[in-house]
Amino acid sequence: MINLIDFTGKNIIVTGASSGIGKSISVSLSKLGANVVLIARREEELKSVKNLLEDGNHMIIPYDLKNLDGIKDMVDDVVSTVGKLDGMFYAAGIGNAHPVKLLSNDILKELFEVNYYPFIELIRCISRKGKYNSGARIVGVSSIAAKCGDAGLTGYSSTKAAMEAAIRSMSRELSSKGIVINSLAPAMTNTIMYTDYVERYGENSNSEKRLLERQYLGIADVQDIVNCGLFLLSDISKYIAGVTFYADGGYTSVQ
Amino acid sequence: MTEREKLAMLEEMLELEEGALNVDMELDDIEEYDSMSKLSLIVLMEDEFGVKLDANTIRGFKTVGDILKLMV
Repeated sequence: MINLIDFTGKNIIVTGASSGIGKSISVSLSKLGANVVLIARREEELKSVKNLLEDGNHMIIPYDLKNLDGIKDMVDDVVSTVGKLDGMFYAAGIGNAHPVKLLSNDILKELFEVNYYPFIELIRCISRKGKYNSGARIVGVSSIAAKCGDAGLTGYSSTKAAMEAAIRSMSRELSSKGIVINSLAPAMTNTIMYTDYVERYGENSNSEKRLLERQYLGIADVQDIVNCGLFLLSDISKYIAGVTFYADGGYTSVQ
Repeated sequence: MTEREKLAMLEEMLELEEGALNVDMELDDIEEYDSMSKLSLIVLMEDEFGVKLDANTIRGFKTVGDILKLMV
């Protein structure tokens, strides 16, 4: 018997690791043998996620990624503690809907400060000599919103589109170092973002009915998205580079 | 914040003339109070007053005054 997805001894950073997709992929990575570096703002939540992991050389880092200046030192600390990095899964993200007229510059800035700038800064720091192993794979969690517009999503969708565009260029540029980067674009997934959505629009709202007409496999389970992330982080996807991988229950295929 | 100031905030959100709203007006009679306005209201209440509105609360609003009660 063979196991196609094996992370034994691999060191992988997960951001947004305290909840949602980031939390679940951390658990799955540990079950597949990885040493996981969990990054998120909330220390207590990180500790409880760490308790869910299978044994390994894991590390938690309570850190607000908006603090871009400290990322380089943090990466250096991680590498000196766990060793060179084999991958990163960037699941940190905020996504409150704002109509254009209320999308102040402060709100827009904050979206980019969480969803975009730290992603670039982390890759800049990880891709320095001695910080990564050749064959390192990076995945940025994007969204179908980067491709398909909807009212209220101007800010959020533009951060994700910026990420996807950056990934196409960075993957090309860093391929010579043996680093490959892809985007993973989920449709609506059963995380706190979905809970917020239901709270806002109500259960079985018209908005949700419209969503499910396109997202015809239903609201995604977190594990559905996690499994695609594991695939993109693992060696078996090594021929996939610079793409947006849709895990969207059919959403982007239906017009 | 006075009642008039709160009304002005809602008027701006709904793109209505200044003075167009009063507390007794029924929301169902205000054409501009549509689904996008409700999203605006959610954001406005959260950003300006730290109040998190859910769908049930919004459905419970009958008059302009009902909204004003939460603008504290």
